[in-house]
Amino acid sequence: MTQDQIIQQIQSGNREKAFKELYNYFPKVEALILKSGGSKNNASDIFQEALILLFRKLQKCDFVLTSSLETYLYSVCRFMCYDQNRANAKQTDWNVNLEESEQDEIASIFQEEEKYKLAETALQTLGEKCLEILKMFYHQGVKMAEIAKKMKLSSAKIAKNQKYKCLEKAKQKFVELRATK
Amino acid sequence: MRRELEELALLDQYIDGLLSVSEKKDFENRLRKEPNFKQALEDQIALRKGIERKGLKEEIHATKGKGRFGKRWFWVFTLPLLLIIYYLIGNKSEYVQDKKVHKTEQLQPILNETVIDSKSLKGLDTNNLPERSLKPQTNIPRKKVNDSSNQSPIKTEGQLVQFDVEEQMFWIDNSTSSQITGKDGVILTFKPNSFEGGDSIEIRLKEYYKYSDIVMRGLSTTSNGKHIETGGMINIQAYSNGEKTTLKPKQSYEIAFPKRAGNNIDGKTFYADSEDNLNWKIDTNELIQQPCRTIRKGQNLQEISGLPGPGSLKGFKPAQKYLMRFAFTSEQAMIFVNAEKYPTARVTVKIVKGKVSELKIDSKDRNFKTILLAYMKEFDKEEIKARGLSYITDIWFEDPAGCGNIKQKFSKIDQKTADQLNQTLRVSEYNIIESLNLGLVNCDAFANINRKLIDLNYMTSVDCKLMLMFKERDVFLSNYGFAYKERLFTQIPTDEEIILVAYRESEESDFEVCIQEYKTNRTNNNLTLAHFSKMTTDQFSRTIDSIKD
Repeated sequence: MTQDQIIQQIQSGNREKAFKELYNYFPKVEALILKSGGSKNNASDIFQEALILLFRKLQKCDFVLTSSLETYLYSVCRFMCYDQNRANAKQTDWNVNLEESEQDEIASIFQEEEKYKLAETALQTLGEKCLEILKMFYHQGVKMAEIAKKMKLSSAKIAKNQKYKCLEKAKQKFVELRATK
Repeated sequence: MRRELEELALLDQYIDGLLSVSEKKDFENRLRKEPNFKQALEDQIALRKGIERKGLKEEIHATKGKGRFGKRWFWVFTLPLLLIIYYLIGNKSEYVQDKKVHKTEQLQPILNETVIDSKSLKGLDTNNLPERSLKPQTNIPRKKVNDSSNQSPIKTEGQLVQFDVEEQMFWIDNSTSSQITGKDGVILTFKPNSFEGGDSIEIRLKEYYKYSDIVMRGLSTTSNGKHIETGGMINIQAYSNGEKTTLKPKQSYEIAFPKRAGNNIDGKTFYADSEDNLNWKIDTNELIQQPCRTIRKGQNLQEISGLPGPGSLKGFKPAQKYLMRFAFTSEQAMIFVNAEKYPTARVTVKIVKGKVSELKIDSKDRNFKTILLAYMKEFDKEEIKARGLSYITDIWFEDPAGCGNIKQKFSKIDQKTADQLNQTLRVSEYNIIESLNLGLVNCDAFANINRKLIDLNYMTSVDCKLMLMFKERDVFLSNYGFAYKERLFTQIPTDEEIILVAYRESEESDFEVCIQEYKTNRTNNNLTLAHFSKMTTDQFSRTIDSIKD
C-alpha cells in the first residue's frame, strides 16, 4: 500500500488496513524505546499513541506532511520518548529529521491530546452499553436508527436520548476529574 | 429531553456545523457572554475526542496482531489460549454459565444508570409508598414479570423509569410581539417586551397534549383532591443570556390549545409548581379572570371578540387568525382561511410529497406571514406527508358566510376522492387561555360530577406505574401499583367508564402493559390487573392515543 493510499484509508474511515500497514514500522520504534530504557509494553503504548496523533493530524483538512509516514511516526515516538525521559531528566532534546514547524505541531497535538486522555479516563467510568453507543455514534458515524437496532432499543429517538444521558454522565465525571487535576 | 440533555444536543449541533446562521449567531453570542457555556463546549469537544481515542485504541489493538509484526507470535499466544478455552468449555461449563449471568447483572445497572434521572424518584407519591427503600439498587437482579410469588418483590429503578416529552426550543425577539407553535400544535402568543432580560429570549416548551404523553409522564389532573378536566398542559420556561428569566409583572401571554374531539370544557387557567406530585391550582388573578375561550365549528366569527394573536393583521379579526380549513385530493389541494374581506395579498404554497416546501406571500406584513406559517404546520401533518402528495396551490380567503362550500370548489371526481380520503373539511378549533405564569400551565375545568363517589381498589401482579383515565372526560389520575398490595383511587364517580393502564419498563421489549376498561358501580370495585403484554414505546403510544376514540 502506498503512503497516499494509507492516508486515504485513514481519512475515509477504513482504518483497519491502514493501521495494519503502519504496524510494519513498529520494530524500528520498539528498538528505539528499548534502547532508551523503555519496556516492550512501553513501546507498544507509545506506538499506539503515535498512531492516534497521526490520525489527528490527518483529520485536519489543511494537513501538510513534509516527510514520509515512517519518519513522521518515528519522530512522534521519539518526541514522546523524549517527553517521558525529560520528566526523568534523562534527555534534553529530541533530535529528529523533521522541519521545525512540524516539530512544533507534534508538540502542540501532543499537548492537546493530554486533555483528551482525561476525557478518556472519565469515559472509562461508563458502562459497556453506554460506551458502545457513544463509540458507534461519535467514532464510527453509525446512524441513530442503526444504533437503536443494534442495541435493541425501540427507536432512534430513545437511542438518541440514551446517548445524551451517557454523555451527560461522562461529562459530570470529566468535570470532577478536571477540578481535581 | 431534559434541559441539560438539550444543551448537549445543541453543543453537538454547533460542533457538527448543523446550526442555521441565526442559531449560530445566538450560540456564539452565548459563548462570548457565558464562560460556563464556553467551558461546556470545550468539555464536549474533549469528550468526543476521548470517545474517538477509545475507538481508535480498539481498532489499533485489533489490527496489532494481524500485521507482519504479529505473525510470528500468533501461535505462541494462541495455542495456550485455545487450550484454556477447551478446558473451560469441556470441563467447566457451569463456570462459563455463571460468567454469563454475571455479565447480565453488570449490564443491567448500565441501562438503569442511563435511563433514570433523579426526577423519576421524585415522581413517586411518597405518601402512598409502602415502607420499602426506593433508593437505586443497581446490583439487584430483576424480578421476572411472570413470577407470581407473593413475597415482597425486588424493586429495580428500571420499573419506575420516567419518560418525558421532548423539550422544544424557540428563540423570540422580546422587542416585538411573537408567536410560536409547538409540534403538537399549541400556539403561544407573547406581547412586545413581555420578558425581563435582553432582546433575545429562548423559550423552552414541553407540550403534554397527546394522551400518550400525559400517561407516560404520569401526570394527574387534580386540584386539592378534586378531579379536573384538561384541555391541554404545557411546561414553559424562558431564558435570557443563558439564565432563567420571568415575565414582567402583570404581563400575560396567550396559549391556544388545539381542541380535542369531544372536549367541550369551559376551562380556566391552572398552574402547578412541579411536574411531580402534581396539584393544580386555579389562577385567581383578576387580570386573567376569564374562561377558556373556545372557537366552535360554525360559530359566527363576528360574535367572537378578544381572541389571541398579534392585533395588527389587516383584514383579519383575531378569531379568524386561528381558523383555517383545507381539502385535498390526489391532484388538487385547497386551503381556505376565513376572512371578513378578501385581502389583497396573494399567497401560493407549494407542497411537495406532502410537505410544505415553498410559501410565497406578496405581503410585507410579518404577522401575516407568521400566522400563515402556523397554518402550514397544521397542514404539514405526518398523515399527509405519508401520502406523498405534491401540489402548487393558492390559499383562498373566504367570507365566513361561505363556510361549508368547500366541496363546490372541486370537480365531482375530485370531490369523490376527497370524500374517500376523509379529509374534506378540517377546522382548527382552540381552547384559549391567558397566563401570568411560566412553568406548568393547564387549561382546566373542575369535572362536573353529580353522581355518588366511590373508592376503587385495585391490585397488580407486578410493581408498576398506574394511570386511570375517564373515558368520556379528559381526567387523568396517576398512582403506583405494588405487587399484590391493595391500593386505592379515591373519589371516582359511579357509572363512569374508566380505563386503567398499568405499565412498567420491560427487559425484552420497552414496556409491559396491562389495560383494562371498566364501568364503575356501587357493588364491585375491586380490580386485579394481571395480564401484562409486551409493547414497544411506539405501540404503547399508539394504543393510548387511540384508546379514548
